[in-house]
Amino acid sequence: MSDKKTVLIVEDDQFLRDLLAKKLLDEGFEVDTAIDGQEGLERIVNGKPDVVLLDIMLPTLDGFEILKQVRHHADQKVARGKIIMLTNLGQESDIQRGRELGADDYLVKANFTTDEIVQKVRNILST
Amino acid sequence: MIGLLIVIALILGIINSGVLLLMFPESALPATLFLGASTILFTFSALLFIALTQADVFRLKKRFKQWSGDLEQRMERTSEFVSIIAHQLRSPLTAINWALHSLRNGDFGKLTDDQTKIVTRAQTSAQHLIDLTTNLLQLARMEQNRLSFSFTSVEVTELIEHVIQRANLIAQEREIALAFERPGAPLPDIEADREKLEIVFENLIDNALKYTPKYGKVTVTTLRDRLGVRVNVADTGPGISEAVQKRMFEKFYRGHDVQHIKGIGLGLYITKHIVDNHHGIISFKTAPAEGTTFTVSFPLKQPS
Repeated sequence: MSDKKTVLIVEDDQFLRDLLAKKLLDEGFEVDTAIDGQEGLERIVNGKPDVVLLDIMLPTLDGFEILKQVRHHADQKVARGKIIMLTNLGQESDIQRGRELGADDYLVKANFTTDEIVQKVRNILST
Repeated sequence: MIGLLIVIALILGIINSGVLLLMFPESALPATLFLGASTILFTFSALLFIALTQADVFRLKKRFKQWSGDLEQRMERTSEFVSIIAHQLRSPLTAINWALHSLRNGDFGKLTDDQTKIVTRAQTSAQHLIDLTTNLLQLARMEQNRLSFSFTSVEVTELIEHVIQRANLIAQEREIALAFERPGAPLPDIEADREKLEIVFENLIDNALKYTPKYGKVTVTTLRDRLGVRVNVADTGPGISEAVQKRMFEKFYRGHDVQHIKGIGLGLYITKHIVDNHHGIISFKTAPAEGTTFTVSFPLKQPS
């Protein structure tokens, strides 16, 4: 059993997902990925990752719905998992909603490099 | 004389409504009735004139309403279209940007100097396009009256550092020294919309870099002022001509002397809109051949 931290990436854009996964692997994280909302929720509940990078716009189940279900989950380890919302546009309404639903942080993908995202993950793990 | 008045009133009515001919010789009217009948006819003509004018105004109003409704709908559709396109462009552009960033960082093996140079240039282009989509999305939301602000506590210094980190790429490529002079004492946080504030600093720094020639200098300073927190972005560019100063905050306006520099004239328009919505102040000082300094000041708290 390694003490590596696990990061789950829930992102439907394959290119973005691959780039982020590679970066996190290079930085010494255990990485899991999901390509749609339903799969994402299952991976969170079953895998209990240390941090979830959660896209908002997803097929089958959107990021807000996942966040809501996770925060209301009976298993406290699931409900208290760290979640960083990934947004495409940075709409204030999205950010506000994410905050209200209990996201730990959010970031606008276009405004961050993969290095900065890794930094965010580290910051959240140290809190 | 009275006959003439009737004719004038009728003519006015006719001008307004097309052709209406009403003819009666004065001799056909009995002399005793003449004055009364003339008055009635005159009043009738005057009323007719007013009624016809009103009808026209009403018709015009209706048509105008229809036109402006159509125009509004068309504008809305255009805004929506711009919004969708910008949105669609963002994911692939972000992926390209991340890929180039990883390449440049050596994540896929060390690059030669030439390779680094070319990848850096590609990345600044991608960054430029991303910034463009950001501004277009803001504009579309402004046009649709959907641009709302969500205020939280923002640490200005940290936000500027984040923006400068990205802008450094462009500065390096253009061989401009981009410096951030941090304040001596830490600044208080301000109540602001973080994403919007980021756009303000991004636009001001991007503009400064765009209009500063090679080997020039762009300096960002922050300080506490009477209103709250002030940020200066100073460049060593050519300065802004008086004609341009008057119009540079207009939508899509671009100075005629800067047509060779990329841009679509949205940066300052959006920036001012955001600053205004924060109850802040934007101003500038400029001198030919010396450079321009843009200053934005924000209050610590938003009025409730």
